[in-house]
Amino acid sequence: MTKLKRKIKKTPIVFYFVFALFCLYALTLLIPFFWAFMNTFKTEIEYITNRAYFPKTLDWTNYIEAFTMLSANGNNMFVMLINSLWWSVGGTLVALASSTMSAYVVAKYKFFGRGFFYALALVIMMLPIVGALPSQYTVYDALHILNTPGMLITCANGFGFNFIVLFGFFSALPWDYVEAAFLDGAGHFRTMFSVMLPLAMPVICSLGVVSFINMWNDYNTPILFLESFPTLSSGLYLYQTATMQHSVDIPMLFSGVIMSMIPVVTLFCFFQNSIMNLSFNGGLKG
Amino acid sequence: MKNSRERMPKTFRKGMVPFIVAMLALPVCWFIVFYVAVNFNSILLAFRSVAGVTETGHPIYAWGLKNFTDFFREFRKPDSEIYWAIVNTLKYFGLNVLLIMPLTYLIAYFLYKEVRGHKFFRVLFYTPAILSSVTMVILYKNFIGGYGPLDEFWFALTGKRLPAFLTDHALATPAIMVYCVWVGFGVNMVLYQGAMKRIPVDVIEAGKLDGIRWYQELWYVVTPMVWPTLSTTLLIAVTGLFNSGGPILLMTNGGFHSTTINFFIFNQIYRFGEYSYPSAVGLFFTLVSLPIVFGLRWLLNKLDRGVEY
Repeated sequence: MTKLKRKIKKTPIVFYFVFALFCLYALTLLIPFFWAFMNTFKTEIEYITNRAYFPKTLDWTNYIEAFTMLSANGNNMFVMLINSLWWSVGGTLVALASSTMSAYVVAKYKFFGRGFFYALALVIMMLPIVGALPSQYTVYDALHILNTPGMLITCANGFGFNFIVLFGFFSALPWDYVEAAFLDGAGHFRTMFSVMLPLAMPVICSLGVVSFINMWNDYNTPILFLESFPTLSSGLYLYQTATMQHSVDIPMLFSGVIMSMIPVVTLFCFFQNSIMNLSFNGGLKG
Repeated sequence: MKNSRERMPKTFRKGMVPFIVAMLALPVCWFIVFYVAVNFNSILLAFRSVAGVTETGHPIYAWGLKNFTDFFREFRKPDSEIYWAIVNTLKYFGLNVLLIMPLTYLIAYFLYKEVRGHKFFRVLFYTPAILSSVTMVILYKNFIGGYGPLDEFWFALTGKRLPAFLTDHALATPAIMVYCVWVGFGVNMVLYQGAMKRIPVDVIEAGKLDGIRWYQELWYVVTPMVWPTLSTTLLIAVTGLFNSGGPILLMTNGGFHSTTINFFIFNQIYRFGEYSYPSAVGLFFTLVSLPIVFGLRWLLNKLDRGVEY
């Protein structure tokens, strides 16, 4: 018995080893951020002569000047911020509206072709399509939405990851809620908006946060399809290419980068658990 | 679910069809335009090439296999861009499946076993997944760059300067691969950990009472229990086989033998305004990966080690 007890309680040596490795990896993540933050207080000259060490003074002017000095295609950082906001918020709303509608109806209503839609979502996820970009470009061009806020409509994917998660959620909701609402005289729209959607709000919010973060960080789409509307992600890249590499004001760039992280990091702090717990329940077998 | 219609109140049938149509209108239209039409157009583009220009300046199109023959001719040239694109894409895919995914799985296991500080590590290791690549690449580039902290550290240690990683033909792709490992654990780590948390405690306890070691527990107890999640992530990785790569645009802009198929296609549009040729390249790789993806799906279903619990 004593032998058995010892076996259960003893922490294997490997756990100490793993702890040490985790600390090392954590340091590699933390140090660059600390280093970049430290450099935002330097002037350009101070940075060039002294990149690796501490700044002489705590000077916050880079954070203010970044707003006017960092620019992409003639848009300063304030404009980029506005673009990031309408693109990420608008795209998230469009994406969630579309997938909530499709998931709710497919999960809760019986109609011809209902099974088709769920299979469709799985097939879309399975098909290994390479290089749809050129075709997307020509189609958007033909629809005259290229380089306009009309690009938001391309986010209205109703059969993607959001659909699969919401479909799972609505399927598990008891039908009794709907029945009760109908007995109280509510119609289809009332039932959906005042009974079912409030119940789904936690899931919709987590999906929304994930979608917002992804759109905020995406640089490919704005670079290619929203040339006149650089977001913070695409703008900070374009600023570097437009300015010759050696004359990029790195301390100011770091200030811009750190400010561009604030919304995402704030959201992550508040929704940390719900973001990390969003996962496929079960897998894709079907 | 099956008897839902029987249990519906009679008033329910009223207005049901218009409601369904209204709800599905936007998603279905999106699907038809931005999925079916886009991909159909992609196939058309692949077989179209510009044969000349009319007097008014409009292009004259010819239909045929020209894009594909161009592609094969390019591919056979050693050192051509498309050759490096394929080699690098396969490297990134191998890196993901052979190193990043197994490492992620091990990290998830030790976090699940509640290594000291696991709550902090879990959040910190996930952060690269929520920060933009633009941010991470700017930090990485300047950190490893000339006279940066890494270089100064190395200089203090050895008295030598580090090579310029991202502007070196032999080092550019390895440097981007290191970056990919550095930021690559987040999403799958959370998926694996979520699956591990759903394992019933008594299964783990039973193993402990039998006195099994941690690696035995990992292989014989945990892995079969989370197999559905593992195989799903593997399938997703293989589905993205020819889309594998790092943030090439931000790192090297495709220079120094660092291009990938994904970047090659992007660059054809972005820099050259070329749509037909990249569509043909895309179509070719889509067709190559179809049997691989469906073959693997079939194999994974056969190998299914999943347990019901």
